[in-house]
Amino acid sequence: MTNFRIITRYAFAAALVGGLGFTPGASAEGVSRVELMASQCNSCHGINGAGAKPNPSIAGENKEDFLDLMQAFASGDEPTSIMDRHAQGYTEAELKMLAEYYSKQ
Amino acid sequence: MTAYDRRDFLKVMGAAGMVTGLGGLMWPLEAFAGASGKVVVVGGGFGGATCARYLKRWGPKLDVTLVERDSSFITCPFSNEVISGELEISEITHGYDGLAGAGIKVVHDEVSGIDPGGKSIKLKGGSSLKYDKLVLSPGIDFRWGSIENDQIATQEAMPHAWKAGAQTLLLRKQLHAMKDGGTVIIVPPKKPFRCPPGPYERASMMASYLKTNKPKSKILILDANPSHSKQAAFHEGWASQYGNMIEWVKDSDGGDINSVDPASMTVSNDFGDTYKGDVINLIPYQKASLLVANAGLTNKDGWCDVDMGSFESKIAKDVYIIGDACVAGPMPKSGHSSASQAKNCAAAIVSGLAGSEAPEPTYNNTCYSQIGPKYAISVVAVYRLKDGEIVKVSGGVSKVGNKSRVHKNESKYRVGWYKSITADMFG
Repeated sequence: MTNFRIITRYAFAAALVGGLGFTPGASAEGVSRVELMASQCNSCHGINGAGAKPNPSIAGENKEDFLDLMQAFASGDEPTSIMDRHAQGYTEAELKMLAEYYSKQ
Repeated sequence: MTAYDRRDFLKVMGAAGMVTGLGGLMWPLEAFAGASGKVVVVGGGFGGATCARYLKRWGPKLDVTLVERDSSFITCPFSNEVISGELEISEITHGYDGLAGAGIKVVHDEVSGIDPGGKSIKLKGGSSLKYDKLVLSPGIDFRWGSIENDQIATQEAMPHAWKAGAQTLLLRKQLHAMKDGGTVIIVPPKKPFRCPPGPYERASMMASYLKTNKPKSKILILDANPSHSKQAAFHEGWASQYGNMIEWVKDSDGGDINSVDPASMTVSNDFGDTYKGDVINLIPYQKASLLVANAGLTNKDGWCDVDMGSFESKIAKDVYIIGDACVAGPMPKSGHSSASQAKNCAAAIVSGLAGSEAPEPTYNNTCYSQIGPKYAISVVAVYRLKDGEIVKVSGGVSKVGNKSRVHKNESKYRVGWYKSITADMFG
């Protein structure tokens, strides 16, 4: 059994290295809070936030810029058609998690 | 969960054989856990297609089957522009190849029975499917007869066009054949119903067509409700775009229609008023699909009570109900809500099958309505789960008095929304 487990560890690593259908960001244990939050953004910003014109891509956004913009939307400092109404729904800690997540997409 | 079988083992061994050079790399044992099991999703619309895709994305080892009656899906969003003639129905029709390509088994069949005890469903084609988890996203059915003489046959003379497809094209044909100076009557149902702003966006898109082609015509909305979705923003838009072409009559002012006569093309209220229309869009009262009603999964009001975090039915274990059919607190019955619920449901199922705790739920809704060329409005909300109930924590409707630039942006972003959400569903 021990040997079998060791083999499967390597096998999983191999599958990841080989890109055999594993999605980046998918947690092996289940789904993380930030993955679930970010999935909600996909409905307007495309899969993994990659954008769908004219809706902007948020993938790969600098995390400081992301946080700054979301907070400016929430406070009304940055004019927007709908993002104020979204940004106000998240805590600062959650916006930081999203900023970190999208900076790596 | 299911035991690690020989076939998977051989697959893994083959993969391991390719990377002997990785010797010494330690991968956490937990990483190999991950969800496994068999999930069947019924209904390939905004809820079901999204759920199937996210189940597979978050649980790559899951065996996911989508059962859908039709070979393609026509979206209700943007179907009002098919009625006005700005879009063709082919432009809002989507196939299921992307789901198959993502490793989801797509079965085009209809469910004839659900056996939650035996954890299986029966298909009309004769076969059965076993499941560990069952997700139902069946949508709505109509409460024929809520209005006197509103029977299924009435939909030929007075199309509802509330399930996109042949009905959409029939209403378009009738509108386009109407004489200039004619009257269109729209009869929205009593709440709750699918797409709360839909009847009013429809009035807008019909007005857009009539303004150009038949400017002497009128649109009369006879509403069974005292108020409607995005009311102030719609009324502002109607006045600026169409003058007094659209008239809205609320329930207590005579809008509450209680009988119709397809032969004379009239609708009547309790006060004894009768209205004659050249085109009548009669949208029937609604309830959850017969699929869930026949399976005994609905409450006394005809909708499905669920755990609002995971969307597991309060009646049947391991059966999850998402989308228009379920009761989800203040979330409107929209495509976006359904997709949002689908992701929460997928996260709960994947986490559960992986033996880990589900993440804290998070939901949103973004719903645009087109009022005229380069003019759209929206309603937005972010929701959380508090004490077992979904509650709204932010959001609202586009402000009255917004500059035309905002309306124009909303109209643009609405197109981006459509592209994004349909790509999220169909790939």
